[in-house]
Amino acid sequence: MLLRSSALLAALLALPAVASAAPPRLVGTYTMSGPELCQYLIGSNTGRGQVDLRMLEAVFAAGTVKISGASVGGSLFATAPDVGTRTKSGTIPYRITGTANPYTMTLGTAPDTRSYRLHLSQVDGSGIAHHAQTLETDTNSAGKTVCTRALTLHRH
Amino acid sequence: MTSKLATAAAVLLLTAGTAAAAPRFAGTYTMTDTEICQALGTKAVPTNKGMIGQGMGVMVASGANLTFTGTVQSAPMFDAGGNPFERSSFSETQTYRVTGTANPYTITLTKPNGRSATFRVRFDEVNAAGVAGYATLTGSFSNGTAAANCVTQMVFVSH
Repeated sequence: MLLRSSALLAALLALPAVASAAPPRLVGTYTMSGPELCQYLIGSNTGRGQVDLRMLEAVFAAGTVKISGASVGGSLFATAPDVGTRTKSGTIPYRITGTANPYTMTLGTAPDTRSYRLHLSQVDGSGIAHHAQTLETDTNSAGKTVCTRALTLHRH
Repeated sequence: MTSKLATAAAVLLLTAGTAAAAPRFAGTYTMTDTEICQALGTKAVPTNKGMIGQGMGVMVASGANLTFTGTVQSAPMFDAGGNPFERSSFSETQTYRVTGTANPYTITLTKPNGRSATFRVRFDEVNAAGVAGYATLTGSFSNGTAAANCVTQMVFVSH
């Protein structure tokens, strides 16, 4: 009897812990903005010191995120001005894993995935994060991490 | 006489009231940081290769103490490919002091080794207790040269 009670108590205690371990969710529409900074690789054509500032909209729903908007940027060094605007649009699968900040957000479908370190905050009673921050690096064709990219997401 | 004293006291109170205390940090904030340092020297004789970096983490404010923990990734702005971005963690408690009467205020951060740096700070979403829900810090600093050669911007969002 004691063993049964202990097992029941343990199960009851474990339930809330499991429930609270679920990551906060991203739901609805978020403004997404932030800079990307890339190294200028001396003596190479693989990096020109790209600088990009992004202003996007991300709509999260049922395992997918629809991203649209534009980024403006150019090369850190160029023989002629090359600053311009690039539009972005697409819907991509995503999932959030982890038990505490920083979580991991994986975009895409294997094997073509990209992982972001994700910090979630301003979580409401429904478990929806109203503010999020990502930080990641990007690699060039040689596999070197030549860029750093941060994005801030704020829910409307 | 009593009336004059009461009037003087009222004036003092009114004066004290108009000199509003600067907003403050309290509790936990999501923190992001972007830093860019100039490359200096000439192409033939560079004295440094600059730096680009970004950070993300948490700032916990308790009294005059600000404890920063998180991750930063940085690399030389110019490189031959041998020094790509490195990621490292940071954890440090600094003290802060805010002066000024309106946005932008001046904030002085002092490290445990006594070194201090001063930045402009803008406090927004300030509640009735004077606690900022959103703050933006901007400024310049030196990473070893005589003059400032770096710029930084940090954003703090209250949990």
